[in-house]
Amino acid sequence: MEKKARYFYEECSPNYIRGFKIDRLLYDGKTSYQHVKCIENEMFGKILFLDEKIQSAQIDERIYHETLVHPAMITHPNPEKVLVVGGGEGATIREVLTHTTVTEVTMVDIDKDLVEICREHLPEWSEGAFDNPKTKLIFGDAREYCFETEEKFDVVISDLTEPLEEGLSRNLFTREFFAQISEVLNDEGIFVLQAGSTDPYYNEFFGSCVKTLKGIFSGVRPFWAFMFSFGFPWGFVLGIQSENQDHLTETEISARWDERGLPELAFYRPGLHTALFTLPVYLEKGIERGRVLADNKPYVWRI
Amino acid sequence: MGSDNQKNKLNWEIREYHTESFGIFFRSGSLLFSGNSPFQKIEVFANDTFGKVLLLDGLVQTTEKDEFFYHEMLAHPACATQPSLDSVLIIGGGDGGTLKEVLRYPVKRVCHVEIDLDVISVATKYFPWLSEAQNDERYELYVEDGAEFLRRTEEMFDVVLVDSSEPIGPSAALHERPFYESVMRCLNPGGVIVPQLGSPFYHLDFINECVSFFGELFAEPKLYIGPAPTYPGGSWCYGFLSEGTDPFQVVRTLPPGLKYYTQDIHRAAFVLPAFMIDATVNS
Repeated sequence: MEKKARYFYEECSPNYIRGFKIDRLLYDGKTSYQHVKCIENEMFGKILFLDEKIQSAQIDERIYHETLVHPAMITHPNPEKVLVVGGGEGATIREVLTHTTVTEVTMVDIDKDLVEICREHLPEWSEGAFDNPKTKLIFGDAREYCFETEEKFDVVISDLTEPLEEGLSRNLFTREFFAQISEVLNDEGIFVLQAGSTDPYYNEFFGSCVKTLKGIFSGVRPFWAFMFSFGFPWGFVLGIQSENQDHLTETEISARWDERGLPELAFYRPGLHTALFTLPVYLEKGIERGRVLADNKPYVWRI
Repeated sequence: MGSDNQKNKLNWEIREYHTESFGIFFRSGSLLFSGNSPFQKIEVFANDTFGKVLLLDGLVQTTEKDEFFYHEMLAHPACATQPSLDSVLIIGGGDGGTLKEVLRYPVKRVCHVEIDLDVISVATKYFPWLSEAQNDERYELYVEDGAEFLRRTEEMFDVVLVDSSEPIGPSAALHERPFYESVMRCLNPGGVIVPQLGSPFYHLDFINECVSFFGELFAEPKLYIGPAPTYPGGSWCYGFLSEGTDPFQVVRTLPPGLKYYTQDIHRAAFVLPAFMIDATVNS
């Protein structure tokens, strides 16, 4: 098929490539930290790429952000103070703010320019969350912030890019950083992170995140959801501070959902919760094979 | 039919445009086979990430590395919930992946109806599981149109798996109501029909159409989903159509060696995301 149209090609592996037609180029440029590209595509809607890797697409960003945020928020009995590290698009804080228990959400992102680009070109992601009086926006290094802050949080959400060789996130997926997150969490606190692809061939990063968290949190619960725009199922992990927080039943989740007056969402619903935590055999094996990530031995994403 | 290795060259690239807006491309070491059958274009190429890849009319049907998601999820939910599993009918599925999953069970016979003998011949050469299955004495192959087979057969089946390709081309009739009515006539009491129904992302309208006539034919049609990385959208939808078999009750001991399907996965697969709830009556 001859294609004259302009495409953006994302290399998922050296021999597996995905092509997105650029119907409109919204932004293409470099911030001090990364390459940012926003395009519009008839099928996916607006799409954000950071350092050539897809971050989110309008068609299914709600699947990603709802899955990242709600299982963690609903597992906490009363989440008031929430910390988001990364999350430049503003959709993560958008979801956090739907929980009426929340009094303050602090978002720490290193890249001010990225946040400005997202506010201008992707307002559908944040839906005004940046202007919410409960939002406290800090531009800075998440690691420094976590080591220096004297605040304590009920829920910490890590919404970071993959740890690329020259990228920003390499020392944000290590046992030292995870241990510090545990320090800034209250006793009942919950940590959740996006942990990369959970496909059968390349789930080593996911397995390693789970294994690393197991050395720090008393409860570690991996989960996953399929992402159309990523082309692969995606992994997330809950780290739970106190051991006595059992898995919630659908009835308990529904009760919390109603108490907090949560709206009907695009993807997540209380009945789906347990299914998200059901992993296939190959991922259980991937977790066994995972290694503990440390500052002196971090994970470096291939490609 | 074409011949092997003629177009063999390095860095050969295969492009599958799911729509004009989006495509997936495989950069490949080699094209192993390319030819036309009376029904469709058949290609096999090798890729470092996915292994051998079979395309029909330019669309990925099977890859060596990820075929297990689709084939296990098509075959096992029906087989594992069937207390009596003597005879199974597979319609389509010329690559043999579904057949391989069914033969893991102590079934008495498996009838396989495939319209395109060339697909079978090519797959036999490039995908080892198919030739193994062909040596199984429980296996019977019928090279004919699935709808035609159903019209003439007097056999009855416990499980019917509809492993069709896209609702365009040779499989078009396999996606319509009269076809399902003829499948029902060959189904033992309590039997199960499982069709593949496409991507919840790309084909939700099609899924909705099917669900509406499934509802006229069956008291409680169900849908379930599973991953399929190399299919459009990365996840796939299936129907579970039965009178009398509880879709949520796995009653058989699962065969060893499965890569994806477990009892827990079975349960989770029927739990649909919020955006699909309108499409179905799963409970």
